[in-house]
Amino acid sequence: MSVAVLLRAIEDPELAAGVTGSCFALDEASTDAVVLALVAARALGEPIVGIASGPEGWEPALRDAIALGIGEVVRTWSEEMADADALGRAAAIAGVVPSDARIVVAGGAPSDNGSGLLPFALAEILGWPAIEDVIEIRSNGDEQVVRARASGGRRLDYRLGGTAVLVAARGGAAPYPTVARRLAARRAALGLVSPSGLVDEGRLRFEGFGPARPVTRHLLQPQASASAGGRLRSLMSGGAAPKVSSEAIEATAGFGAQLVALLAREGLV
Amino acid sequence: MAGRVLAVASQAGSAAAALAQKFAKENRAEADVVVLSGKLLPPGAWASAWFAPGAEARHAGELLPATADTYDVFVFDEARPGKEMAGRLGVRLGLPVVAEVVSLRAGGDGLQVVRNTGGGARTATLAAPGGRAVLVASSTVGSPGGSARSATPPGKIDVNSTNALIELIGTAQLGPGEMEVTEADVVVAGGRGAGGREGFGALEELAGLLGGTVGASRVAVDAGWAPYSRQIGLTGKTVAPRLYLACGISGAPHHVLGMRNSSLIVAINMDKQAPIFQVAHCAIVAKVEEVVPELIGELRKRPPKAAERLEVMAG
Repeated sequence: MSVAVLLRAIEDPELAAGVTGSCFALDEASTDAVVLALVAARALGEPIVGIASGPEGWEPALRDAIALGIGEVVRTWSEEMADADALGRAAAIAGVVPSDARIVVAGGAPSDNGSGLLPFALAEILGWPAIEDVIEIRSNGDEQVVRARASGGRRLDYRLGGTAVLVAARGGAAPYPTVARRLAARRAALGLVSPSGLVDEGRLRFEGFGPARPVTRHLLQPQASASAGGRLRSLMSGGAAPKVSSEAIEATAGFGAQLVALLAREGLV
Repeated sequence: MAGRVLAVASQAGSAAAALAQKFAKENRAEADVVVLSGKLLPPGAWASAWFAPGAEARHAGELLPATADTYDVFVFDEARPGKEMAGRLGVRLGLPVVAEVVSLRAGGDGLQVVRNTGGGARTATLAAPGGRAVLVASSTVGSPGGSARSATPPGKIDVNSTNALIELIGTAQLGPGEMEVTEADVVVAGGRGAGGREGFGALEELAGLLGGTVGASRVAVDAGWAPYSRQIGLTGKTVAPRLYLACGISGAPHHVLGMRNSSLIVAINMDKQAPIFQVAHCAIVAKVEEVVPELIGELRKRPPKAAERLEVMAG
């Protein structure tokens, strides 16, 4: 039995001048996955296998994952995979998930150009359930209970009947690797598996990059009559357009009831 | 004419619905919008309900493949369980899946999809030659408007069917002191005019009644009335809850930056010239010590929010 964790490296140009000679670093979402996998491995008493689908340049970042506590890492890659979409990569990864793995832990959407869809595509290929935003896994005898974060400060507890893909919630604090672990990670052998006939090409064609789309929700509308101080304040608040409050409640008796009525109209109480 | 689009909304103000409607309008296509769960997300003029209360991604997974002959493009929201549905449907139907989609148009030999990449630093244009795809709309697309076409569900699903591999065995609602400000639907924030440490006690009670948590301005944190983990603003956390209740907060620019994207901002302040009223949807010019106890009294007369939520979850 084992716990598998999906690893992804992202490009960080600042690392180019570093000692590893690589500009790839372990993605933050993958670090969250490693933290959760360590918790799962402790709860289940099973070893952790890291799985990555990336080029050779990822290896220093994958060694960082070993330094954090991953037992071994398998990388699956071929040149044809460079243009593969999330489903193609999920198919390739599904081919190297250990047959004895009970849990696959993945991170959320990576911070570069990742989609966050791969864990769910992998779950569908494997025929496993998936749970998002997982913050904890514990073992009660033979059964495993997984706690997930939901909106509005809710926590959902699931009982796992068998295998599952768990997507780690953001914010896991990674342990600081010891020097001994770092040295061992440098010497560790990384497995390489070529995916065969798993990549479905030609479903999407890249046509080019374009400028960023504006995400501004409040347009800056400086008033001609505004003072210099008013304009500066408007700029510093990120362009939040001054507006007359859409609803003013008089500070008279019963304003609490008025406010509750307003919240009820908005579906908040 | 471009292909038919089905948007499956999993949140209010669905970006998926907005993207599908925009595509239909610009490309003379047909778009249907359905909501995932009729109880958690009530259908309105912009969507029809296909799924019974309590429906989850796995239930949608049973129904949606049956629509493969009817629709060419499927659009989902980023919010749970949109991504799970998109990933699973893409595998089932063998269609390309694209996330963070900001625009969509029919052209050339199929479909042109523009998505955010590099954390929104630029966009990438992708072509789906077959004109068919599964998409996840970026939350920056906007909200739907107008009305949706009436779409006929392809069948019925049993939301009470159990999945032997996974079972929801319990839910818990965190209290106002345990919940992170970034995950709460309701944030009751206090500032210099909140009434000091005692005033924050009342805010915590109010937050509990609203099913939310307590936030604070930098002044209140500096004064020791609330911990730093509760600080909202440029030097604290950025929040975008459904309700932001600003109690005795003046609205300094560095605070406004951390809360301006909240859906509903209610501000209580004695000073009617306070800048917070420039970003508030609802303004109350009064002392916090007068408003908060009255509001608590009114809310106590109503059933507790948390209990309602658990009932909804039980489905």
